[in-house]
Amino acid sequence: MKLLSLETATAAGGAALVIDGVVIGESMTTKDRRHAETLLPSAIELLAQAGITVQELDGIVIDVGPGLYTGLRVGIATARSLAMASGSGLYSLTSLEVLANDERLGTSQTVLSVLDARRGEVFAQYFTVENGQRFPQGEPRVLLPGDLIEEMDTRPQSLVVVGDGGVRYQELFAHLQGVEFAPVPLFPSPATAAMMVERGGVTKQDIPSDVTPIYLRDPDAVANFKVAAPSRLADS
Amino acid sequence: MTKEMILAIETSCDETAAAVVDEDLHVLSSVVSSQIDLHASFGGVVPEIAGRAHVELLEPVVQEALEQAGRSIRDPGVVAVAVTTGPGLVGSLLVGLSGAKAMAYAWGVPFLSINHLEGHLFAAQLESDSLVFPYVTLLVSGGHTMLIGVHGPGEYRLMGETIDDAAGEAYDKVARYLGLGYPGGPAIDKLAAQGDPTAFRFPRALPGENLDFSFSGVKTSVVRAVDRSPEINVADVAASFQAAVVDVLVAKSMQAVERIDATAIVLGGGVAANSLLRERTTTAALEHGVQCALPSLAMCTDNAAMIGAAGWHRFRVHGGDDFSIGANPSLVLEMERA
Ligand SMILES: [Zn+2]
Repeated sequence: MKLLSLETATAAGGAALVIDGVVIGESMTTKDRRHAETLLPSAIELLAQAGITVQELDGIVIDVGPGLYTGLRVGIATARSLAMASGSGLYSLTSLEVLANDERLGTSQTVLSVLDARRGEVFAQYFTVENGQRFPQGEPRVLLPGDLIEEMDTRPQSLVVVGDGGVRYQELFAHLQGVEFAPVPLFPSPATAAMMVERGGVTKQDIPSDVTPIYLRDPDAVANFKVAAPSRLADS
Repeated sequence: MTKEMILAIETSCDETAAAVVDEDLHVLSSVVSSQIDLHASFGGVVPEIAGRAHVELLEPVVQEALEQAGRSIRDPGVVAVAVTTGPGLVGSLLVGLSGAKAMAYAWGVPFLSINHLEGHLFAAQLESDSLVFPYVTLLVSGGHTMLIGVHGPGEYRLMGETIDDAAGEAYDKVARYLGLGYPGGPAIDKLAAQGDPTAFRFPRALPGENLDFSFSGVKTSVVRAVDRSPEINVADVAASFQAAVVDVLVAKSMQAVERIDATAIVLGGGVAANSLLRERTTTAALEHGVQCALPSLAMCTDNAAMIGAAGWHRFRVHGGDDFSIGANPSLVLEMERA
């Protein structure tokens, strides 16, 4: 399969081209968060180097989060529009599963994917191993790092924590036994996402415009409004 | 022979819009999906809510615009894709920009980076073949109050602008104060029809040769009048406020027309939908012997067809833009200050 994979869920964004299970190229930038400026030019360069057109692709692969909202929307609008305008398939994965499936991690331990969600929170999800493959436990969540660690006290098994959220709050994990921190990857890699599609098990999206970001939080105004509404009613 | 077409996309604020415009600036389709209901309970546009809505609506709105023009997203038949890159809400702009670049690349056509204000300047050309340069555009919306001399594509003179609130902002604030809800413009316009515009004499700011505007004084006067007498007739307040604002807008527009010997006065922006402003501008233009171009309500408020009109000018004068262009929330329109 010829797959173009786009990644914009975190501060580190970029594109990768994978053909028949071989990573032809991966271009990432961690300098800033100007994904809207760099994403398409990176993809165009990868395709040009490989001498293939966007119409020849079998699929566009996109990380739908959870992650940083503006980046997610840039990536998803780009991926959906590319897929719909060129007629190629669209495949979506979550940031936390891409992180957990990074081959630099190996496949011997349970993985806890943790991404920095800003505002003092993290996005997190567990993945267990079966026959060398990773399986998600529960849904992606947004929570306080302290709450995540509190529930880990009741989790005796050894595990490896991966992602920039784990590194940022590493000190909070210090008292726990059997917890290891993976030095890499800090962020989901678009090449990993494409390899996951190549291996099968990721369903093609029949209606590309149905692919939307995973936010896990209400917009601030809605959250504040929900808090404010009862007192307003009480006033009237 | 079939005419060449441009697809245009606009997502700078709270409307997700797409349009197909042909080389003669005829609108083949113009689809606007308004998010007004999503924002109404917050009394204004909430950027994160707007961003979320844009990403859900973008391709469906584009598909609808292409289908109404007899094409499809797989076979668009367009020669370029034009998109607003500023000014506006950055999170909103980025959705339209990302989609527009991706489609242009996939279709193998240029992408055109368009200033939203330039769209408003050319909106009237979509409905009036007879418009001749130079003309004066009064651009009045929630974000802008400007008098611009339009001498040709890319040749603009800023003749006057607000020194404090935009006209639409003053409408919103007064409407909120009177308890009329959001958006304020249509609510005040409707209520004013039942009121006496001479009941209160609110100030007309910055008279004389100066073409700049100020609306904070009239807003303060309204607040003071209501505070003084809580039993006040709200329709009279709305009518008197509207009269004060429109008086100034029309008087300065006509001064601008005389100053550059313009052939026409053109209205643009959301406040250009105001019924009193349209009526008074029509009368004043007649008195001055110049053409009056009042775009339809759909072309006054934010839409993508106007971006298509500006897109055609950019396509012809400049050609395509680089795919590395980003959104610029405070993008300025290059204008000579006069
Ligand atoms: Zn506008």
